[in-house]
Amino acid sequence: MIRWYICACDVKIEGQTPVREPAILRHLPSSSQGKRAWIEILDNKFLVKSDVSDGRHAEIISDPDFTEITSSADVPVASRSAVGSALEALGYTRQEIQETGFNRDALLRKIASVRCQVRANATRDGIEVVNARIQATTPFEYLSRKVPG
Amino acid sequence: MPYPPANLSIQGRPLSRRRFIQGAGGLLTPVIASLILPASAGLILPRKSLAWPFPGPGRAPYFILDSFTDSDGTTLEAHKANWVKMNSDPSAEIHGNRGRVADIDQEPRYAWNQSLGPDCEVFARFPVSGSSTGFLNRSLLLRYTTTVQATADGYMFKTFSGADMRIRRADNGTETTLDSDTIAVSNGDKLTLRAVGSTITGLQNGVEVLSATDATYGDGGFPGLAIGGDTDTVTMTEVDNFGARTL
Repeated sequence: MIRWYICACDVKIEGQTPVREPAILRHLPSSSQGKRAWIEILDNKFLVKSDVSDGRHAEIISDPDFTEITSSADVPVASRSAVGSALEALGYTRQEIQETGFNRDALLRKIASVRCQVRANATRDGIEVVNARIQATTPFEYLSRKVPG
Repeated sequence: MPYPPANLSIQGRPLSRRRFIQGAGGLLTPVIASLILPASAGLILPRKSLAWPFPGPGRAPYFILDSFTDSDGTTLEAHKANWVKMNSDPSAEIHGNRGRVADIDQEPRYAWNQSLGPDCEVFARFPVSGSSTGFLNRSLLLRYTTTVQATADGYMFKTFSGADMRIRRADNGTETTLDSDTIAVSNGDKLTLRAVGSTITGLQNGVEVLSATDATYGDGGFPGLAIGGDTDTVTMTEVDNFGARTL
């Protein structure tokens, strides 16, 4: 079943290079476990589209570094306040969120339209955000090409 | 002989001079170019393997080829001045006419200082790679903006020992994984990294295994490679038959 998540960024150090990877790779390192694709978004997070079993989904959503975006066509009214607050915390404006009418696809496109820009920190043992908001460099349609449905 | 020969045609149309040159590119271009260009231009004639990958008729020639044919112990940067080491790790050396890094727990990374692209590809064959739980790995680089790893931007196809592959984007010294999967790499595999527009593709023996769409770096840049060894292993990582071209 298709699931959408916002997930954290894992930072690993390889040699002297900080490497950013989406936390979805903790649960789905292989595409044989479930197709998945991701786009960088604001606040050093990733928007993930995946096609996973219910069991795998339960495992993923129990990870506190994941937030599920509804699989319904619209975000349920009861959840809109919480979803809006979570996205505002990432750096999206209330106006941007409200403009989507909480339609899921419109909301996902809005989330995927911008990302942050990062670089290695001075001691090269982590990253720092250079620019909190730049235009996305990967189109939203990329996710559906990698994970149809 | 007329140039091109007057009696040659493709599907009934006379062969143009350009098509003639391209058609011969797979075999004759390295020969012709080696007569024109100095050895320091980095164009090496095939000497070792019938599997040396030439483009077919009508395809752009490889502008950069290196079969790592040199004396044992020669560092890559001494072997060809085009190889510029991008970090301070110990150098890779040539052994048995292959580039090698062994048991050093480091990953020398090299750029070839001729800019390609923006649409371009880089490939190499990796004859030997030891098994390790460390970062023993093989990487190909494209569209690199500088020859200094700590500040470089560009794209990378990185494979680890075991069965991990990544396409990554380098941003000013940090890297972001754009696509990933667990696919085994065998000794002798030919790996290719290709960039066409915003599509970045990783191929294993000519078969696409990873792909990502990213428009962050759309200009041309340097190709390159990295091979990493690990002190946990008793063997080494080797590279052979490096090539790159503008598409």
